[in-house]
Amino acid sequence: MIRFISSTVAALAFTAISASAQPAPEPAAAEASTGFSAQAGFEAFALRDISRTLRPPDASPISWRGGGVVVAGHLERSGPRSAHLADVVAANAGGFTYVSPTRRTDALPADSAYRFDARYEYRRYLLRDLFLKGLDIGAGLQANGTRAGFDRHITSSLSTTTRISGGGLGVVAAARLRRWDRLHVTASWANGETVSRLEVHHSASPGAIAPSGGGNWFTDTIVRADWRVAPSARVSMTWRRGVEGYSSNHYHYAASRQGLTVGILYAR
Amino acid sequence: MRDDLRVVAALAIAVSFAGCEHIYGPTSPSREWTTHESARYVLYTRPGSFAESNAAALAEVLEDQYTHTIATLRIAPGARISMFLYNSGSELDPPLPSARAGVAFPETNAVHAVSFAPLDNDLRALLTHEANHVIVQNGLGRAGTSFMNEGLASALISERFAEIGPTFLRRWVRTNRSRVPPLVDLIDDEKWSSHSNEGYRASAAFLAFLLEEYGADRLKQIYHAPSADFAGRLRDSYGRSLAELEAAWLARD
Repeated sequence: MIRFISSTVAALAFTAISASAQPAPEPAAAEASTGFSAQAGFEAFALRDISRTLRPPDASPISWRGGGVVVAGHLERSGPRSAHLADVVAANAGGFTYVSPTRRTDALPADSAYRFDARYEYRRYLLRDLFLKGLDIGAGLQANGTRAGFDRHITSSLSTTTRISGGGLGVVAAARLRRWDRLHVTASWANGETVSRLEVHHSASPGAIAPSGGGNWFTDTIVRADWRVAPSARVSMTWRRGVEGYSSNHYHYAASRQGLTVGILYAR
Repeated sequence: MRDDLRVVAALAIAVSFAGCEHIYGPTSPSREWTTHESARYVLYTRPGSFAESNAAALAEVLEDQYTHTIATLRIAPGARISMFLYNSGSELDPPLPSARAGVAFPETNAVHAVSFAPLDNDLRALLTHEANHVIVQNGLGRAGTSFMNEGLASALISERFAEIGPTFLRRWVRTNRSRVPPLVDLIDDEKWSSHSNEGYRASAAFLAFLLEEYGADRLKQIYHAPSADFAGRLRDSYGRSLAELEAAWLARD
């Protein structure tokens, strides 16, 4: 926890130092714009359960891995110095396997997972035209709400369903490159924590396991590239990588997901 | 330019922390394994190790335990279990806490355990205890307390190869009466210590008592109870208070 706080403090220190380093206001290099994109693609998901929540945690050598369709919506209202961003992501995973260090075993076909994320972020571009024209560096704060579900079948007659709902906050470091009119690239890196409620059901004891509170940390990296194909339309591609850890009463895991989505961005 | 350098330095500091992932995230598992398969286990052993040369004998112990646990609890058999057998706890990051130690991962049907010579009762008890975590959670789901989770995994240890289960526990209680913690503390997760041998053994001995005297069905009724509800659920299921059952257990053992 101390290192997490240190990390957060460092990010905030970065924000503060950046703010103090601002030159006098300049004419806006980037025009204000509003854009909406709808994207779809593939996302891979992996989960390892944890027995001891140390640093690093004691995690299973076997991961439960699947993949599936992800759809995402992105709304961004950006100006020369700031941006409001809203994202919704829905992903579903199937085709699970248990992957050990030396072999891969198919899970039962009914195994599945899903997640739904909604995020809002306010970002300030504190340094503009850093080193080269069009490269802006910023920092932001993020609020998120999430719902995740895992359906795991131990045998054809034994199964567990896990549902986790929560919300939290994160700090963001971001960069955008608007050096060329056709190509815009944005990268962001967010770290934060969520507080959540866990519900687990086991087919042999339905309703017997009491819901419990919990929480998790997350580290998300997003790189987005937009290529203008018409005056108000761009082809948009996003690579997302998320890593998270979850801890609740007698239930802990680490999960990762990585995906690529492609879609159209309408901007005005 | 000076301002830019300050920002770059601040960014470097932020990146050097590398975010939550590198602080809280797990390490990658080791890849140096040979495997030995039995009906319900895959034993991952280090090449040339004691565990590799004794894999058949270890599998025999573990197969017997699987049969014993599902028969005693009257639960359906679950998934195949992967047992990762290390030569030393220091091979793991984080290391296991003692020379002979293990941990279980029921969600992915896996176990970490240190397995070195000889194949004695300590090793049998360790491996069967950890396997029981996976078998029981596959069959019943997550336990409500550490008391139940850890105690039941030892209470169910088979005695086919040695008296390392209920017989051992009963003898331990008889000869260590002053070291037996009060049950009211053991059922409280806030007071549970995962490093307390007394806690493990007393929990296991009491649950073995309940299984022997009252059977598996009543035990399943209290299996999921969290600490706050445990005493009440116990009274509802057994018709006697925690203190009364504790007194009966200590009088018997």
